[in-house]
Amino acid sequence: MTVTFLNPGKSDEIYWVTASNGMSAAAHSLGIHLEVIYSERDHLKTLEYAKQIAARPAGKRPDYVILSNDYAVGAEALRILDAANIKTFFAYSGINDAGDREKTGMPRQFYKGWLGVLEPQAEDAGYQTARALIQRGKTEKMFSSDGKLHLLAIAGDRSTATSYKRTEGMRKAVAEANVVLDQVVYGDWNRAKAQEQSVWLYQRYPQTRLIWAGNDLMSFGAMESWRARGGKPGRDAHFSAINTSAEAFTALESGSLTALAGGHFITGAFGLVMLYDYHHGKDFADEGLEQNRSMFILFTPEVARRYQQLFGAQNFEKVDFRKFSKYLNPAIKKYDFSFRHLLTQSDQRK
Amino acid sequence: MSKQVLQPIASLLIRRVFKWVILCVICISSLQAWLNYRAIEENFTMTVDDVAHAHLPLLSVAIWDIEPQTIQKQIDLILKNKTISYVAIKASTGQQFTGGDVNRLGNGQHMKFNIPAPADASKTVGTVEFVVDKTILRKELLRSFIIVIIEVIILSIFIFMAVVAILRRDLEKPMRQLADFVKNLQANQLATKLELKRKPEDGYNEIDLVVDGFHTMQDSLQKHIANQDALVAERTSQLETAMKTLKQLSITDGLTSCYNRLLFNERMPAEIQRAVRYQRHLSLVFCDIDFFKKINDEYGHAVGDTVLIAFTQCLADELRADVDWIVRYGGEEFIMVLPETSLLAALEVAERIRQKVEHQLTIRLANGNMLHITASFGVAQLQAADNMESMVQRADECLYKAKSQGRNRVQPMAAPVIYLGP
Repeated sequence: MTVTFLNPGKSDEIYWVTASNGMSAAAHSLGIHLEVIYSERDHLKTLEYAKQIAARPAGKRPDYVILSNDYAVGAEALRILDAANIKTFFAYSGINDAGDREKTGMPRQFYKGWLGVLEPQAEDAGYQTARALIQRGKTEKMFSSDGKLHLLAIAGDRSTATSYKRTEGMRKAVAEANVVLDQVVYGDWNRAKAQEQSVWLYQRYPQTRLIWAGNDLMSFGAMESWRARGGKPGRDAHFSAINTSAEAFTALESGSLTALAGGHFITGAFGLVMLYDYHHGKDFADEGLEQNRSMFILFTPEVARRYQQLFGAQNFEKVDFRKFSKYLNPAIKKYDFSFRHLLTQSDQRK
Repeated sequence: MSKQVLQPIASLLIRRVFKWVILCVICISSLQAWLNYRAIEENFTMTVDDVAHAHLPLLSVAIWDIEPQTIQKQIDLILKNKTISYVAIKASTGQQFTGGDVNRLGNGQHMKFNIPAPADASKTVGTVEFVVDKTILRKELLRSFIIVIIEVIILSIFIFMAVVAILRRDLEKPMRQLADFVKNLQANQLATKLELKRKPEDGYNEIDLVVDGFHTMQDSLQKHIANQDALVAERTSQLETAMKTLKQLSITDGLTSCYNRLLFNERMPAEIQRAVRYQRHLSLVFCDIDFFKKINDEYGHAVGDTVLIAFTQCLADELRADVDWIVRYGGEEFIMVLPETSLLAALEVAERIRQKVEHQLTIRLANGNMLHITASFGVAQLQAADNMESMVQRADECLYKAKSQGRNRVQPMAAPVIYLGP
């Protein structure tokens, strides 16, 4: 069984490297031959690679291609690969745009080779981090002169569904807690841009003490400019982040980062498990072709430490992904793809 | 004829046209440049205003969303308008963005606009300042001025060319042909028609007027000359007639139409010369009407004149028409000159005339009576060493002799003398 993963991220970008590592570990434990191609965040390259794969001779084509619909290139890549009779599976990011949906239909509808989708419940990450941030603000009474908590948000980008969903999760938490969302800006997942934007934001909203970010890098940028103003992140202002990077864990440990959610990088690995079962005749269709599962956990410093102990070097070989397979474990009736389960499952192996 | 330098009308016209066209060029260009300047200046401010209002909403959103790259892109877009040399955006949070040429800040006009907040126009998120480059305005002005000048110059060149071509073809060439024709026209060739080499489709113009006028002048000149010739001929003939009459009058006797003594004196020496040269005979008969004074006294001068006329008629009848000639030498004295005639022949002629006068010459008087007259004759032949005077004298002597011998006779007596009696 051969699988190619068209990784939308950069080959030195911690989140996407971690995602690839997780998939490698899963492939290893399931005996799958995995190929990873990085698009380096260039959506045109994704299409280019899809065409290259489609042009390969029959013997060298993968059985399955795992895609992520970052930058809305999924529909076009799907069309290219399906035309070459290559089976596809969307992990991380599925088809969410109504226009794209019209073209693609449902999995296995127009494109028979499009097997399914596994998405992390992105709202969760935004919701959980925002809620933790607001909770902390309340306990520390970081109210503005109007007596309310104020929050600034640095979102990812305007086109990726993940970004939108995380922001929606944040908005949900804000609405629940009756917090004032001063402004949402888009930092393009970029540390430097977030740093510059935060400078403006601090000047524009000098009383706001809660800063929510769509990923870890943008949170770090915002912290840097806060420090540059003479502030102390985690003490006179609180920051939240998403992603399981070493720097994020360190910041969580030191207290400068108040809330961190992560673990969804494992989506690809679980996707491989689903494809493994499908390949061996155990179709996942009965659980739904498009699955949206909560894979995030909100890291406490303790959980963070534990995670680092287990996977500090982004090595997930300790995880036995065979345990998640329905084909290998007929007793499992439903997939259990939570990250927490991964931590505990690893414990059991120890 | 004084040799004058030719100053063609064409070049004069061209110089004048050129002068005026240049003047027009300057006037029109200045006017247009001024109008352009006003228009450009007005446009200038409007353009900057338009640019500002086109970009303000976008800038507003970019600043509000804190998108520095977008702000910088907007600046680049604004700078594509050449009138704006420098842009400075200042966010209300203090951040500055600039673009354009700092060196051109000095001579520029600064225009400042507030950037309203996207949601609430009453608040501002910053300001944008444009530096408008006036050198662009001047360049634009110069450009439009040059274009106007080029336009007018091209127009002028075409006007020149048209004027020159028309002048050459319709004025200069026909005029030169006309001048050459007139210069080479001889008096005896006045009838030569002037034909200009022109295209007929050009129509009837001033040149044709001149040519027609010239034709008319040629015709009238010719008519005039012809009239003059006829007049001269007429006058000449009149003069000749007058001269002839005058001559006739000067050499003839008014009453008898015989030659007078003046002619005799003039012609006789030539007659003698000819006779001598050709060894020919020449004789003179000197005759005189007998008792003529008595006739005049008795019957009056009118009868005397009638006698004279009748007598000469009688003489003439007996002489050779074109050879012999009669001269009235005195009152009732006549000389007959008989060339190619010997004395004997002359005597015969004289005798025949004497007899005819005696027997046939009668004049009817007023009272019905018939008047008979006689005449005496002296004959002389040209002799060696004779001249006119000696010859006349000899004849006169003979006449005297005849008179003295009783009149009505011829002397000398020729032998045999036939005397017919009184």
